[in-house]
Amino acid sequence: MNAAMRPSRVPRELARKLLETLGDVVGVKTVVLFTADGFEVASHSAEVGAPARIAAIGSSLSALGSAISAEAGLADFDCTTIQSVNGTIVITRVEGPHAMSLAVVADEAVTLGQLLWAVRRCCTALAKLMNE
Amino acid sequence: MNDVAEGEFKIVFTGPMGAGKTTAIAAISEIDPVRTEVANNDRMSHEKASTTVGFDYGRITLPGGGVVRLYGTPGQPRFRFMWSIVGRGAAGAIVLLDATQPGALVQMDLFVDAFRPLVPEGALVVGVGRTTEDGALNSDTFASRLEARGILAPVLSVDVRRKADVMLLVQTLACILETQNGNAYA
Amino acid sequence: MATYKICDIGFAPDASHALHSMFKIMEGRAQASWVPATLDAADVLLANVTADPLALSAWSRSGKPVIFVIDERGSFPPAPFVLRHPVRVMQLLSMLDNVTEHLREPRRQATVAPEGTCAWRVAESLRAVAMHTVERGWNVAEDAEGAHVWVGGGHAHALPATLAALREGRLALGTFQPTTDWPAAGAERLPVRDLAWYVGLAGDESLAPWLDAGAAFRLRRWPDFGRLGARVELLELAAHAAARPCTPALLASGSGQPLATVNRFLAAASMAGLLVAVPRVEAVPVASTAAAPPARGWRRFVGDLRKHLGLVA
Repeated sequence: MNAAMRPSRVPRELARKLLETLGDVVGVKTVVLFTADGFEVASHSAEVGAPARIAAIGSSLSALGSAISAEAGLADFDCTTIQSVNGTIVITRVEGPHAMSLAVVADEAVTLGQLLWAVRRCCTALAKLMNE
Repeated sequence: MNDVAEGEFKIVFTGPMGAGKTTAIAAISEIDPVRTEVANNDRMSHEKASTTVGFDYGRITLPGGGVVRLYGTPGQPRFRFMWSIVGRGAAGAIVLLDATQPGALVQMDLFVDAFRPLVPEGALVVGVGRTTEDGALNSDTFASRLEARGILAPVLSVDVRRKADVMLLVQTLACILETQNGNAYA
Repeated sequence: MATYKICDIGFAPDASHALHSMFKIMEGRAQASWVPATLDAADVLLANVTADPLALSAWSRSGKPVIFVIDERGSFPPAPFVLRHPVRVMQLLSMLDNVTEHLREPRRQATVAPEGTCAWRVAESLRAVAMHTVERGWNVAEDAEGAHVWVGGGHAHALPATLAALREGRLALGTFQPTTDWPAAGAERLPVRDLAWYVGLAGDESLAPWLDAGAAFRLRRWPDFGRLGARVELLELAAHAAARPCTPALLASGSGQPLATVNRFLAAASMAGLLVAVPRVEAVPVASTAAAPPARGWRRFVGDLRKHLGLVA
């Protein structure tokens, strides 16, 4: 496990600007960057309070993703997509020195391929930011 | 409902961060437990390097082919949403506490209140660790607190690093389950 | 109709006055007539638990019944007759009728016969000295091999090897006697209620003389088996006694344990202050309280679990 790092040391404002770029994707409602233990680092959302809960649940899902990957003899968790009746949630690991993940919530207007492409691009940019 | 009729049942280990849930499951599980521990950033709450954010999972296979599934919950209230997910269908819950932690009594209330509705009536055991250390609360203090609240649940002093102590918690729960189900084992 | 003399101690004048009024109100409604009397003349003692320990201790040696009154949040003393303050007339009436039945039963006198009750004398002597403060001096008990257990200030003191023997049930102590000696150097201490538990477990096969064979008992708290040490049969008895009030006979049939084990468990639990005596009307047979028929496979499943845990010989 990476050395523990308090979320406050992360360049939050720069991270938030990167999350905003995902907000331009049609259908995206909420974007949350969070630590492996479920702390919200940065978010972009219309709904107040939602990011903190999504961060906690997202970290559990990331950890469960890692656990099931290990159980199946695969490499570590990278991404999971949850398809709901009226929307999509994508949780992706952010490469870098700090164990973090990104959760994106979108409604039925989203195009999955477009969303995944945008999330990958954002994660690459976030990883670069964390490594600086 | 639990799946006893199918030869399986589920016990949930719960309690605040650092009480020893992951350790307790590892002490008695026959498989290397599935863990969902990650680096702990919340050093204000607990000086612990790692914390469970999903659940722990261990297993005991019984001589007759039955299976006891052991689940551990995250300890931080932020992960409360996992408590009802993990607690669903449990035959009983074991609440673990650290007697040296400030607010240990309040933590007991929090977990007992959260898990009593999730398990059959009475199927709850409290294990208190580090009761012999300086400044620790005595197990009687925890028992008095429950009694004052009209809750009758066993409160046992344990060291969850010891397999025998964790077995005692499971054994106590098994005795309660057996009694509740109206017959003595013969 | 029989007339019994009753003495109340440890109450404020207004509370005492109210109790006397209740005795008058009960006249003609209770099974016996109750008249206030002095401590020396009384048949029954009605005592506030905070009353003078010396008077209570002297009374306990008389073998006559005592009804304890505890305050609203007080914990139950290990005694068969306990009322909670504020006492209502109907509660007192019901309690005094229970005591009347108790006094009518001739076997009560037989159970305090000195023959064969040596183990209970140890327990009684501990009950008498348990709450003594150190200022009142130490009391000590000795076993046949010369191991000592001191009691004073709410704690028992003994050398580690003696405590280990006590935990394993290998120590047969004599009665506690006043001593001018202090605990040995190197003695460790344990709460006196833990010692009380062990002394109760080491008691006689018969029901402890201070417990009523016809009463039902339930645990108000579980023993801390982690601290006291656990045995399967005690865990089972605790689970039964926690689930519902049981008479000794019901507890034996419900748990499948021998009556001697049940009696020792009840003695230990009452000595350690974990037991509540319940008026008989509230005690219900095990069969009628079972919430649901046993789930299919339960018996086999729990049996297998116990085998795995090493609980079956």
